[in-house]
Amino acid sequence: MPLLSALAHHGEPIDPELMDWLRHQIDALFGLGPGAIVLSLGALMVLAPLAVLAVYALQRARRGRTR
Amino acid sequence: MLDSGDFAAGDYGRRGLAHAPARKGIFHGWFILAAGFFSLFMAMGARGTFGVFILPMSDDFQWSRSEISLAIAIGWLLNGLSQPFIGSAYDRIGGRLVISVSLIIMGAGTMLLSRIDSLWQLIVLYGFVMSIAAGGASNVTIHGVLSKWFYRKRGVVLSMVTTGASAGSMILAPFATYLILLAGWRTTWFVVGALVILIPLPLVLMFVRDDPADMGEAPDGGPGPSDETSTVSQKPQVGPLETNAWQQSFQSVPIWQLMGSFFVCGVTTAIIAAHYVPFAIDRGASPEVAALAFGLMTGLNVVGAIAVGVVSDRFGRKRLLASLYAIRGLAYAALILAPGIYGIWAFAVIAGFSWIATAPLTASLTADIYGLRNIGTLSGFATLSHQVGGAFSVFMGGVLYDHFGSYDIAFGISGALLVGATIASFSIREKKYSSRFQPIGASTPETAGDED
Repeated sequence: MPLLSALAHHGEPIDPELMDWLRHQIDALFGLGPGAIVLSLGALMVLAPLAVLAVYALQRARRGRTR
Repeated sequence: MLDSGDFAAGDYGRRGLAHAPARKGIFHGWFILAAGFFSLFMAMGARGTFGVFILPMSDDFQWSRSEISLAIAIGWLLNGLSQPFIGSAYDRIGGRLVISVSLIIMGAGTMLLSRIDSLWQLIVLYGFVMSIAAGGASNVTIHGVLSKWFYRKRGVVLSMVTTGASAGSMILAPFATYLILLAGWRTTWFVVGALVILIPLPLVLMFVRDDPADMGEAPDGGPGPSDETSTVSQKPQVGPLETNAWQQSFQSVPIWQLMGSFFVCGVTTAIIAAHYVPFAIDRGASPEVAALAFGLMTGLNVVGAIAVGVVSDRFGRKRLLASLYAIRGLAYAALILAPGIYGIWAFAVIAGFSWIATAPLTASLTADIYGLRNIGTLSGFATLSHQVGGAFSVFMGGVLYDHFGSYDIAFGISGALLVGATIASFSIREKKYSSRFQPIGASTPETAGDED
């Protein structure tokens, strides 16, 4: 069975050779080290939901004040 | 067929809500959309990243590709088989609990992958634990919850949340790749597992509620049942096929049309996922070009899904669904008939728009026609048919390639099946059965529209 897919349809595992090639493209494009890329993507994943929680908290606080 | 006296209340009338006064602040349904997006982002993303662990784990354990593929194949199969049961659990105990427990189990299973030392442990954790748990934080449950919160915007909302799965693969795969370089695959599995729990779970616990009435709200942000300013009719709008017992749905035609066409969706996407790159290389494309074409297709599928969702909320869904299958059929024709790598590029551009857009449209139509009481179970069966079609097509593609030395016949069969999916979708009698087209206060087959 082939080791499935590139950027997937419904959660199929990504192809390892393809990901290796993409990694080289990212390296060539941004010229960052692995640490910088991990930090950037990690921050994106953590901060986006935190922003949603902050908006929700602000809305609750505003509604609480108007009551 | 069902009789009209067996209705289940669930939806609110479209026209009744069209004139609802706007609420102040952000409608709570949008927060549920965010929770669903990040749940799919992490759950599907974590499963999708498995590929980047294959090479380092193979190097450490000297596992063959076929041995690792066994875990993937078992995972694919069990994920599909578990969907109707998970959907049924969702219908009984609600989305908040099912999604939360699934995320915890999936995250714990992913973290435990950092401790494995043998193949059977990989098969148990990835093939069984993660793949079954992923079904609880999937389109089946998340589409079900959102369908209760959105009625007029159901199509676009389900499309938006579905893109979370694509975004998860796009972000988590490079994240894991670079983290493996820094810290090794064991640490990376642990971090990914922790993120599966820590990122979506707080959002799910805080935001997800199964019934808008629990929050004093109504679908789409209309006035809630207890709102004293409400002047609109709150009479639930039901279609003629809405029922209390999901088994009765299988006595009607549309569920078979939806499941049949979604089976073809599974056939035509999985065979490409598995065989597109080898096919492109056979056609003279470099692996880089094949990868780039597939990447283009992925980008277009997000655009296509959201655009289709917007249009379907305004103009109905079955014609769009049929059009998507027809477009995908044209893409297959281009893939087979266009010379050299032109077919590769043509397929990526044409098929890209239809790639994930079929999932939210199928879920929306199922909810519109059968209501929300059994939406988890019915969506679970539809997803099962999709996964069975996918497993069948990957196997078929390999066997036919080995026999004929070409993918043309396998892709030709897939393209031909798309003709059937197009006809099946187009022949769904949406105006007769969808709650969106029922006159207010009249929801029997005799009074519903019949001019599909």
